[in-house]
Amino acid sequence: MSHRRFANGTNFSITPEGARALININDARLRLAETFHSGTNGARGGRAGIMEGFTPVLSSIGGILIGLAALALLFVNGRIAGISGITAGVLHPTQGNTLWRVIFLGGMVAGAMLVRWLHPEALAIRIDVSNAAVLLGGFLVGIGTRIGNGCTSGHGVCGVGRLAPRSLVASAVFFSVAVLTSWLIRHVTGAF
Amino acid sequence: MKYLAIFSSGLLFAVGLGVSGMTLPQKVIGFLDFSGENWDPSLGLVMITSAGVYMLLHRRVLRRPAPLFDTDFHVPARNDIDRPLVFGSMLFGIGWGMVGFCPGPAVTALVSGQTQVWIFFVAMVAGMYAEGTLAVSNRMLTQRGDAVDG
Repeated sequence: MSHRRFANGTNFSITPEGARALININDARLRLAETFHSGTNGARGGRAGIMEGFTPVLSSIGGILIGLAALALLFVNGRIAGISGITAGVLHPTQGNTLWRVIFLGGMVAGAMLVRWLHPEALAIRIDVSNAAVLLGGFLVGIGTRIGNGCTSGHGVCGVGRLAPRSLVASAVFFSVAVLTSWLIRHVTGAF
Repeated sequence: MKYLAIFSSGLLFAVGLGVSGMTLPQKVIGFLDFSGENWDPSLGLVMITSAGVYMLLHRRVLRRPAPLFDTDFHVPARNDIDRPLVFGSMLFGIGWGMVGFCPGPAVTALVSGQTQVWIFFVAMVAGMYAEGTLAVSNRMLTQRGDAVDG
């Protein structure tokens, strides 16, 4: 047991094992933060160097978790884990087909709180367009994913994973249009 | 039990999104913006790993006679490429390319409490609601099928 007195007069005591455990946790947190830090800053930070924000390890782990979560939903109640479809289903409820959606979304919010607690860097969100553009963009994402019957999760992960022709086409379309749009508003017009 | 499992799937999904970095629009735009100064391949890797895991294992799940807590799998069977699929995906692509949020990350990012995230989410829900309302009236006129891909 070691005792220590801090400059501000408070006492602090800890066992050697406790100290080692704390140091280990702190090291792991720092490593995680370092791996991620470049990711939160990169991309459009205006610094030179290609792939600066790339987070290969975390992005791969996260991707695998997303895939497993989608498989779990298929295994449990036979549904496609499409977030746009699940959300929209709550807005227009039908008998016996709504509660599971609400529960799934509740699980997502709980997961998000876990992320905020353990890995707050993932919520250091920066949006580089005006509120008006965010409003318009959100509306287009909402109406577009319903007209096209799916988004990045339903078409992109589950549909592409099943090699479903409709999802392959949809994903090719929304990815290429997103690349084009991003380029147009960030490098050509600067309108937003 | 059923709802606990569904809850856990949602939880894992959101944790995956958070860990992958896809809750950050700046990382999504960092991928989409090929002509930016720093191209960030992270989103591409997330798509490859998530769809890859699904590709490897979904058949094993579908080979079972039924899901754990349902009588049938609800996997879309349509294979036709129609105009709504392409048109809707174009609209989605425009919104995604503008802001850098798609539905899953937008839902997950709500707990950040940031105003712009909430603006996006409310507008997205309004868009979904608008389409749902239009679709209901349309279906009465044209008997449009309502199979959902995702």
